[in-house]
Order: sequence, then C-alpha cells, then structure tokens
Amino acid sequence: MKNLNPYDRRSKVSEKKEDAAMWYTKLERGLAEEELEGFKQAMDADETLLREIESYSNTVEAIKSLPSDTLSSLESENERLSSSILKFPHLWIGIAALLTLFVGGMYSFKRHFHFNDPSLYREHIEPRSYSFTHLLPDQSTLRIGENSTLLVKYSTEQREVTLGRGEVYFDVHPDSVRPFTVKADGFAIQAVGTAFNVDVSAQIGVVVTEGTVRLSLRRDSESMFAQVKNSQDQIVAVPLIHEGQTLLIDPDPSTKSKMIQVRESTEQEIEKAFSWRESLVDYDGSSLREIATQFEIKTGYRLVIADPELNDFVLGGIFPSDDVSGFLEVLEKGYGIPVKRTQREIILGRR
Amino acid sequence: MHKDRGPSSAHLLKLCVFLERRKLSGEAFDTNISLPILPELKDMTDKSEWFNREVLIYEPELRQYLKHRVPSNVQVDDILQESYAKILNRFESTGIKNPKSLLFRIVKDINIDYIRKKYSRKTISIGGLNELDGYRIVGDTSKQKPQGDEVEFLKKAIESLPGKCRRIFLMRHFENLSRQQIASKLKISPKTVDAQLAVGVKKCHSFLQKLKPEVSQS
Repeated sequence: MKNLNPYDRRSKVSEKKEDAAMWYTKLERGLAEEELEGFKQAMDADETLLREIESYSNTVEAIKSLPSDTLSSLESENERLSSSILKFPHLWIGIAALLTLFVGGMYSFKRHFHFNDPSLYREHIEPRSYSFTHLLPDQSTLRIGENSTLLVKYSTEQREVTLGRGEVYFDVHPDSVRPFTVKADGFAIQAVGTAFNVDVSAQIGVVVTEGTVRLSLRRDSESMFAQVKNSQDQIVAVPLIHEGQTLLIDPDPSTKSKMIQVRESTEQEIEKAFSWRESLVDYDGSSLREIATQFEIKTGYRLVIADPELNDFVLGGIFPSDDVSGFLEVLEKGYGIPVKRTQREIILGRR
Repeated sequence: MHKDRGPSSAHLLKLCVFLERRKLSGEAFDTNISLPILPELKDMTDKSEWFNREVLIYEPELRQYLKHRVPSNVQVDDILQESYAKILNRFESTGIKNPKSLLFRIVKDINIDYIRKKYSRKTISIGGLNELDGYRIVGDTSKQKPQGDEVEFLKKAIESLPGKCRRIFLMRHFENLSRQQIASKLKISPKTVDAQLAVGVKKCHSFLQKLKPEVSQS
C-alpha cells in the first residue's frame, strides 16, 4: 500500500467522511435507481462505509428525538433567518440585526406594559351543550363538538391547544414559524399544514382529512417523541399520519400501556369528522335574519345586518359552513349587497 | 423472511446444511444416513452435492465480505440463508453457469436491500406499518430520550451549522419536507439540497464527537 504523509492521510479520512455523509443523505431520502450501482461500488471499495453511515444515522436520530419545544425554538430561529439571507447575506444580516433590536425592544416594551398582542393569546373554551365553530387569531378554525373543553395557548414560538375532553375538528392556518400542536391525554399531535379531527373519549382518535400530522408522546412537562414498538417488539418510526388515515390510541389496562394503530379511515369516520359541515342556509330558502341567528355557531363569525331592509332578504341553496368566502361572494357579486369583513364580524349593507 | 422459499428448496436447504455441518465438525461422513424415501431423492442428493461443491464453499469468503457491511439490525446468517434459497431456486428453474459470481451478486443485492430499507425514510410508510397488528408504547422511554446536557449538546450541534445549511437540515428532518419541496421553496437545485444535508449531518456529527463522543455513538 502506498504510504501517505499525515496531511494526505487526514484529507483521505475527511474525503471518506464526506462520501459517507453523502451516501447517508441519499439513502435517507431514498436511493434513485441510477445511484444504486455507484453505492454498490462504494460498498465494495470501502468496508468502513456502512459504519460511518450508521454513525451519521445515529446522530440524526438523536437530534430528531429532541423535545419538540427545543425543536420549535430552533425552527423558529431558523425561519427568522429567512431565505433572503441566502441571497444578500451582508445586507440582510445588517437589517436583521436592526430588526432584532427593534422587535426585541418592542417585545419587552409590550410585555412590560401588557399590551394586547395577538401572537401571545390565551383562551379557555368552556363546554357548551351544542357544537359550534370558533376562530383563532391566526385564522385557524376549530369546529368544537358539544361538551368539549379546551385551552388555547399561543406564543411567539408555538400554537398549542390542549383538549381536555370532547371532539374538535381543526382546520389549521399554515405558519412555518409557529407549529400547531394539539395535546390530549399525554400525547401531542403536531399539524403539518393540516385539517384533522381529534376525539378524546375512552380512546383518542385522530382522522386526518388534509395534509399530515406527526404524533409525539408527552409525559409530565417534558415532551419527547414516542418510542413505539410493533408486535414483534421492534422499535418502529414515530408515526406520521397522512391524509385519509386514522390514528387510534387505546389504553390497554392489562399492561398499562397504550396501543397505537394507524390505518385507512373508514367512510363512517370521515363522515363523522365532517359532521359539523352543514349548510349555512336552508335549501328551500331562509331570510338573512334567520341565517344570522345560527351563523356564528356554524362559522365562528358574527353576522351583523347593518341595513334593516336586508333582514327579510331570502336566500336558498347549499352553502357549506366552511365556505364563508363563497357565501359572501354570492351576496356581494350576485345580489350587490355590500359586505365588510373584520376579524370576528361580517357586516352586511351600510349602516 | 423465508416465506418465498418453496417447500422443496426448504427441505433441500436443510439437508445440505445438515450434511455440511457433519463435514465441518470433522465427524466421519455417515453414508448410511436414513433419509425419508421421496421420489425426488436422487435429484435432491444431486442438488445437495452441487450446493456443497459450488455454493457452500464460498461461505467463509462471503462472511468475511459481509462482516462489516451489514446493517446493525440484520444478521449475516439471515442474508446467507436468503441468498442460498434464491440460488437454489434459480438452480432448479434455469440452471447456473457461474455460481460464484451469481452468489456474490445475490448476497450483495440482498444486503443493499436491507440497507436501503433501514435508512430510507420512504420505506417507513404507514402502509407498511399497517400490516402489523398495532404498536405498543413501551413504559420506559427515558433511555431513548436525550436528557440534560445531551439536549444542550444536540441543540448546539444544530446551532453550529451555517444558516443555509441549518435551514435545509431542519426543513428535512423536522418539517419532513422532501428534497424537491425544499428545493422549490428555497429556489435551489435538489443536488444543492443533498449537498447541504450531507454537510449538515457531517458537521453535527463532528461537533458532537468533539464535544461528547458518546452522544453520537449512543
């Protein structure tokens, strides 16, 4: 074998590590067929390659098992960097420093004087004897089932809803800086741009109707990703639950453990998840005054009829309660009724 | 793992291994072994001889090759058994001209399949998980969870990454975005995403090794 001087040896080792990191990256995202032959050759040529890949895999797994609050803070820091930094690093780093000073100053100022900040929002939602729709400050929508209790906590780093009991359908407004997490009975379900239904009864059921959610396990005040074993006692990946799938968490009294199942949603489950989705108006026709009485319960918005002449205006058809914009468009463009929309109210006509 | 193997090859494999064990252990080869009287006995004995002569002799070489090349969750024996079953099936159906080269190819392919399954996130699909009965959360998860200093070390490792690299690393491993999604979001090529992810994992690993070697080794 050719003798290498220390410098050459070091650069050889570094080169090997770079190769291993690249192969790990490719394996992790799925090796393309055209990369397969190259990987076989690399494996033949270097018997230490797999050990290097394995150590990189362990590093990534260890990092991925960080508590989710740590991850959230890292993610938000990361988002703050913004893609613009990639384009004009010096300019944007300068601007970022000024902004940080400004935002930091404003933040302490606001905290000190208890100004009303929508990003620092906290609300306890009391149980009601009927289902209703509730809007959150970020425009995420909750369809809350009867007798459900929940606590909403928003901070600059995360949006968190703790579901005590009952059933809620979450339509989550995407926010890459602040992940949206639902906590229920020791579990945390994190949305990834998603709509899903969570039902807490004897078991926890999550029906995902859009996007993907990630399950993690929380115990005490700490959070951690669930370590889940399959029936052959092998540790499997933390479940990601995709659109059209249902996650069930069942207590198993005999072993004091919980069974987690992920499977395709049944028709009944999907139907139940969308049971809140009723029409805003009667098919045969309802007056705007009648529509207004149920409007807030169905959509989360209060419908204010500013022009008394509009009270008896009759409208018929089917307008799903999650399509408020469609409904308003019909009033505005179809019938020329002026519409003004605020954070919580929709005002029809001119006062 | 062995469910693809037909009953005849399973029987044959067992017989071959049995005969071979006798040879390896240095016992006198008993030519009066009482075998079940089966119609294909003659054929099986031929296959057995072929197997010993053309395949089994390479086992030490194969073990040496596989020694450092199998993923930690896989046994060398499993790969060998699966390869023997495959080569016997091939022998029965089409015959084999160059058993050694075919054997090595089969062994390498099976091993690569295991490696791809182990590391590829694509293979950990919920569909695959559905085939199992369900999942049980085990009582004590504390061993798997980073604690105290370890959390800080891991966090620092990510913070030590350059801005662009950290952003891509977090998008991939925490937001679960695909390579393509990251590329289009940041308006860079998928190859750059790969390169930055590789830099990220390498830097995090070296950082942890310098700081606390056992974190990355655990």
